[in-house]
Amino acid sequence: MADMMKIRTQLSGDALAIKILMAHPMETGQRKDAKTGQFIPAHFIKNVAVGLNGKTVVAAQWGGAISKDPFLGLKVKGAKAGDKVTVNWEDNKGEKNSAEATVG
Amino acid sequence: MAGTHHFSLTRLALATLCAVAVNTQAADAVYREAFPRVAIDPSRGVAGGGDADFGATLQYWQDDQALEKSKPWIGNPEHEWKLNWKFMDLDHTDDMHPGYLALEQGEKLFKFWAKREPAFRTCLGEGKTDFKGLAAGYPKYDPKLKKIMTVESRVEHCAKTALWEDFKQGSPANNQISLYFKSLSTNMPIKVDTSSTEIMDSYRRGEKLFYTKVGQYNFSCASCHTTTGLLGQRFRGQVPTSPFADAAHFPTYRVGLGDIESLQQRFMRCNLQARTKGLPPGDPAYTDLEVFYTVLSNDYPVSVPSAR
Repeated sequence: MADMMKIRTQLSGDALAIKILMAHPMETGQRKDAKTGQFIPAHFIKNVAVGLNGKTVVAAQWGGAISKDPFLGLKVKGAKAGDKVTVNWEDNKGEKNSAEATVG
Repeated sequence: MAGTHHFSLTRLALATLCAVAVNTQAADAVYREAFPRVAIDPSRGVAGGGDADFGATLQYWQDDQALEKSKPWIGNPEHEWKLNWKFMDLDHTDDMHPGYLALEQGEKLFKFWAKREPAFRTCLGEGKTDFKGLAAGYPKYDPKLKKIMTVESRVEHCAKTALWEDFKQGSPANNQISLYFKSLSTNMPIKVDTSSTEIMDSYRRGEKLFYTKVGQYNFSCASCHTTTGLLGQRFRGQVPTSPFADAAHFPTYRVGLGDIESLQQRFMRCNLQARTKGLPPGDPAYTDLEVFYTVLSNDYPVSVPSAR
């Protein structure tokens, strides 16, 4: 599960549109299991960082209100073909994931 | 005075009870109402039988400008399928929806099992190892098994015979492998064999189910999905669609569920929403309904993975 992350980039002029789809259950901790009646433990992404050529362009703190399989879209100025986009996230259980894409 | 009143009420109640008892004795079969039928010709496909011809409902779905633009598409086999707005949805404008995550999982799962047990691959492809275009021919009659097979029941059957695994219809593993199998036929027109008698028998049974009213609300599929019903009007905050091309994008990622769902699971959930007891996916009644729906999607392209 944790290895799945999709990144798409589209360059128009020097503006770069980045789309990121992350596979994550994003449990709020407030849902109950219908069978056992117990709360499902919270499991959500806490920190997301998107970098362009090693420089962080977006650093976000997320919580349980973000939906399952989150989608993040952003636009960055001053990008060119061949640039590297990196995405890192860390969730409340300490699990980490990162992915990289080259602007084409 | 009060006594007689009480007495007459009791008698009335007794009489009603007797009448009910007599009624239940007389009716040996379950009484079901049916929705009036509309003319649907299974042999016509998109060209003439699809949305453009189905009670002129296009005006509900598009503004005037879009209608003018799409008018030349009517009668053009290359473009006519686009008139169905199910093909103008999320999955055709965006290639980054979670249906693709399910597709990746399905591919991984299938490759894992096919590597361990190559018979799984040949069973799914009925001897062929290349699956391209195979899913467009489903559901079909299998003369060996003497059964109508859907993609989901094929996956279930092959998992049982080749892998000794229980990938029940509607389970995540079955849905993911079915999604992967169908995605290999994406953009290819659906071709269910309407010349086969078994398929057409099943189609007729499915058609009957489509019009049969069931449940607490006394709803049939046709109550919402035909022009004499609620089609094209607002209902539950949504616009009920025509039955054409509905089967083309299943199994699909449902945003409301946060998961992928097969067509028969959708039937089950639809039944529950209409306050009817749903049947398990893979039930013969649902298979007949799937055959009916898929025949109405003939000539429309398979569009898997999709999101709704």
